[in-house]
Amino acid sequence: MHPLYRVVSDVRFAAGAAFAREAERLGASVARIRGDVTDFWFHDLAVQWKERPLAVAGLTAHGPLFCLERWGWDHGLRVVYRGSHRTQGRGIEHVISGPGATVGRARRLSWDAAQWAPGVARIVTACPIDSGLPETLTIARAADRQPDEPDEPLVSWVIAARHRA
Amino acid sequence: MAIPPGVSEQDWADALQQFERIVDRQWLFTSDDDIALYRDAYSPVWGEPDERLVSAAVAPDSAEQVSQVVRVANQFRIPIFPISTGKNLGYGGSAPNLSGSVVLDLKRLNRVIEVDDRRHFAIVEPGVAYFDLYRHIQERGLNVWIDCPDPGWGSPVGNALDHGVGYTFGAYRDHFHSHCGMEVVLPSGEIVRTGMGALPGAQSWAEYRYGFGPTVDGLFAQGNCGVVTKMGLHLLPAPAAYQNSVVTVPRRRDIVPLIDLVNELEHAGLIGMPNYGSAFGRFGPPNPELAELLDRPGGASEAELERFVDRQNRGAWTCQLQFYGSPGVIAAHLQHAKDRFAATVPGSTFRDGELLRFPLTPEQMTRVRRVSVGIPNMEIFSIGARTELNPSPSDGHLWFSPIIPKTGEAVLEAQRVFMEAFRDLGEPSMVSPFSMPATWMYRAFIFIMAFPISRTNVAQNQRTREVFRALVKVAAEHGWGEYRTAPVFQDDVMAAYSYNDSALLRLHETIKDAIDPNGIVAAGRSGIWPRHLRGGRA
Repeated sequence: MHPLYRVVSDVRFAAGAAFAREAERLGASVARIRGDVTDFWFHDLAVQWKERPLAVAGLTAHGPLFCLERWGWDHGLRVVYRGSHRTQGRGIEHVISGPGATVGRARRLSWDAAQWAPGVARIVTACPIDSGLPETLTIARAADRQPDEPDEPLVSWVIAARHRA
Repeated sequence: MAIPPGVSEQDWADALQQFERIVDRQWLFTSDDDIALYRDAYSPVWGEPDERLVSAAVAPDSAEQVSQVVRVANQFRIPIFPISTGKNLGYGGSAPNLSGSVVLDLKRLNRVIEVDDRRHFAIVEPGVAYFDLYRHIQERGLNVWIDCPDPGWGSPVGNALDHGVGYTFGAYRDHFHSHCGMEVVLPSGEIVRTGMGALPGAQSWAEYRYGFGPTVDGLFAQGNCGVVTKMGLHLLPAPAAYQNSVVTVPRRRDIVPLIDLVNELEHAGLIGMPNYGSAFGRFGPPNPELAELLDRPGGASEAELERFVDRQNRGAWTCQLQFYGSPGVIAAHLQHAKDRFAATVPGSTFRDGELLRFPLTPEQMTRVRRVSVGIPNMEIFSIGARTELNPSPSDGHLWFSPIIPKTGEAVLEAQRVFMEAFRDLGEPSMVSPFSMPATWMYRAFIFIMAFPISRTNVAQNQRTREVFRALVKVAAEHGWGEYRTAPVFQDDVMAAYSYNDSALLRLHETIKDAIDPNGIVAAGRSGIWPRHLRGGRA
């Protein structure tokens, strides 16, 4: 069984669609949304989280993560990995924060326009759920944005159960 | 972990030990990581010394446990701040008025106790979210609707207790008005039930809200006299169909008969929530001619605006009328609306929407605004493109929400007054001559504005607070007061309700001192401080 219950992808964005395809190729079960997390929450995750704190991951705009993160808190779950993918002029700045192993994988990825989203799918699906001390990595690409990609910051994330001390 | 103000280290340690004994270790939250979750995500003082922060949180699972926790809090003078689902974004979220308070997190009181679709009510606990109540109704095929706000992840109890509002029909949108009966844990720990709930064995607790004698329920809404652990709610019988129709009136001055007529239709129970708009409102495409008019020193006169509208030939104002009921009833009400407008506003036109019969097909669901048909959702979080006025929409917003009368004259006055206020403050106006009020509240308009909040720009937040406080005063000078606000501004807003040298606040304080002499429950809520914190404001 895949360690992630679902991988969520906001397919309004080309990066989201590429992320979803790669996550599926890696064996994850993908929930595709178009900005609104309602149906995924109500018909799927809310039912599951009532029973057990299953890990989920995604590449979405900020809104869906904002909602899922807060719902997760009520079930003892936390964001254990967070990536910010924000346009800066014609480029994209990626800021990755998570377990050392995850950040290490991020360092070895190709971050060019066509590769970064599938690369993020690979790192979130392999993200260790039991996190150690987080590390942060910033990658800035000066001219790497797809010309037709909307100017909307995206976030990649993993939400998992966090064991309290 | 900070210790609550005025509490000794020993008392704090003893209180925590007793909280743990009551709720078990896993439901007592004291680590920095855990208590950080109770920060107000949209705090206008994010990261500043004035940010309201908690010292701990405790999550009981029953009214009895709430009572025990409250008794311990009283014994050790621990300030507590009850929250339901903690989703009151834009109005304070889950953060208290008094920093250092212990959050009393009621999320585990999450039982839907009863839903009756013959008498159309529900009885729920505060940890029940709108989604939960909706699921309960859908799974059992019950013939009732909820009325929910936008987004739908909040608590019907919590929302009603903050005078929250919704989107469907009549008084159901005024969530506190449609509550019926409560169970409350008083600051002493005593459990009381109001209305018919005070009569043991009464089956009409969620039907008749008054019971006998004075009604005390209002003390617990935007109040700090106790912790509500159950609430009855009146629910709308599920209608057979829904249809909307948009009326357009041609002239700027038609706003007066427009609103009068819509009031008549709504107060007679013929329509649900009206949605006012204008082709020239701030969500419409920019209009260079209007921009040029407004850029003139002193702005544009009513006569100039009237002529502008006439030249555009697109109509001045619109109102979406929403009809609920059987198709025959809807047709009759819609025809009546058209007849009234034809007789009263020459040149008004209607554009009818599709008649939708319930249950909706999946395809129809994609075309209807879900809150208008009682379906909770999170769509609002998929909106949020960056703009010049809101460069970081993900950082949140703050609502400024004054109540104004339901007349066209009041709307025009509010437009003029607030535009002038923004000009005097040297700020870009959030209001235009075509801004229309929100109509969530059944019997009043809310002339609402959203101020962006920043997680990183302290100077911007400070300026936002200055502007907000200035607008509170401007509004009060014109007889408009906020219906709801974040803790940071609750003292300012309560100060505006100053009739007879703030007699209302003195009454609240008298009641507070009697019911909660140690001042432990939600200190500062709505500007009502316990005696030992009055005057100095912690």
